[in-house]
Amino acid sequence: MKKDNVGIAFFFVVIAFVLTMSILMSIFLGINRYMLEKKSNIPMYVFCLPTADRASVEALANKLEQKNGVIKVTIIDKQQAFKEMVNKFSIDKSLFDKNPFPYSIELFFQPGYTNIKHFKEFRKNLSKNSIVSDIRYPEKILLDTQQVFSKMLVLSEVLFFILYAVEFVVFISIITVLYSHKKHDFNTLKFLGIRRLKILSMFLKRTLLPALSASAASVILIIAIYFLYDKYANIYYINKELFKSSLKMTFALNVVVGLIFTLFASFFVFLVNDEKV
Amino acid sequence: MVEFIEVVKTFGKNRVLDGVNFRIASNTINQIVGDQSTGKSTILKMIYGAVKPDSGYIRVFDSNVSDLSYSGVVLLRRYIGIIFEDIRLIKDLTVKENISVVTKMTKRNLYISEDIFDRLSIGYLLDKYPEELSLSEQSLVNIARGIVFNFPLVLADEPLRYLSLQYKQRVIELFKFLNKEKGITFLITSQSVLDEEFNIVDVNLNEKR
Repeated sequence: MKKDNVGIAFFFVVIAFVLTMSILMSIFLGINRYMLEKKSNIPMYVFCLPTADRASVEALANKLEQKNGVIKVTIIDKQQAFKEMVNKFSIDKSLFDKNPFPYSIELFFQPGYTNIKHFKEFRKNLSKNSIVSDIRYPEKILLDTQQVFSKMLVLSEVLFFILYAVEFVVFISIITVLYSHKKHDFNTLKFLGIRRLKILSMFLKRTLLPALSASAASVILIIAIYFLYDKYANIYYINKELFKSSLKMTFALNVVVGLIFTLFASFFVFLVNDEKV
Repeated sequence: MVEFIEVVKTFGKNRVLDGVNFRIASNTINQIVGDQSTGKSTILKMIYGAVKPDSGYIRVFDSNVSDLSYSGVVLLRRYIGIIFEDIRLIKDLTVKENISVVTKMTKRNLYISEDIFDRLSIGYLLDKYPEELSLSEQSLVNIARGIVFNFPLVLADEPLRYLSLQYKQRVIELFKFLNKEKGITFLITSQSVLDEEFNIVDVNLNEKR
């Protein structure tokens, strides 16, 4: 078989698709995970009654640790809190005849649970506890973070939808050129008694072969990118491990998407262009 | 073997065939003679189902081509050798592959008359690609592809157009040989009479166009 220049062009289009989409998606996922981590850093404070003793506070802390979405529970000792306040504000300790601080518990939640709805529900349930006097969290910060995160998510979804749509159109265009390039030969084969199904399989071979070769070539390129990124590059705010793990996932996804796009675009182009001559 | 009854074909406002009637018997060599653009190729294309008539009846072997489904037309083509006017070799296949594509893709184990390669002196071209061949060599391969499998009917659309006088004569002799020895029926189009022994088919072509 002679070399097919349109097939070669399609090979490079598929490589460009897999790499561009994988790297872009990895960067977005990296940023997404970074924001999730930040979101997860918003605490909730549970203030206990002044009469609550250490043992009951520890029992409550253990109970909270078992709750869904809780990732970290820290008991803030009342003596420690008093000492820190005195030191921080340089207050004369003798002004206080007793420690005004109660025991308190600092809670952190998984990103999915760090939202106003869950925090309110959590507060509602916990406020029924006999040793809890108050529950507080930075509502404004939580709301802002939640909104920024949601907007970012929508933006990235829209962006990727547009990118995938554009890529699909590019696939259809180049596969149409590939078909047009062979249309005369395909018609000749039909005149020689070859069925359209056989011609479809020949056409699919012509489109899937470059797509599969491009996927294999992308594996080599992606390994090189891993190596170079690990050794020389670093994108601010994107942890190397996060980038590498998300790249693996998005790379596999985009190889599969590339093959599915090729298959669908090939069928579409064949159905639209092939004639019963 | 082939029969046209009151066949009409119009392209746009041009009535190319206006009630064409003819019949071709088996084991004969037949020739349609006419100027360019008078509908000779259209007649051949109608026989192998690439062009449908507006009206009329076309019988090939024992089938009415117009009544056949597309699958039926494709099956019919498997018993007709076609020598195309525009050569139509597949450019990314070698000469050998171009010839064997007919059997390979239809999974038929047809007998190949390899002596035809010698008769047309194209044996040395078998591993070459069409673009490496001259127009006359391509034309010889096109002829070989149409006759090498001994199909009962061969349609040849101006097969000698790109050949030298010497080769024209060799091809005509080959057609006569295949007709005599293997009973192959030929329907050939050309702009002038190729051989006095060939039957001239009176198809009343529209010469005014």
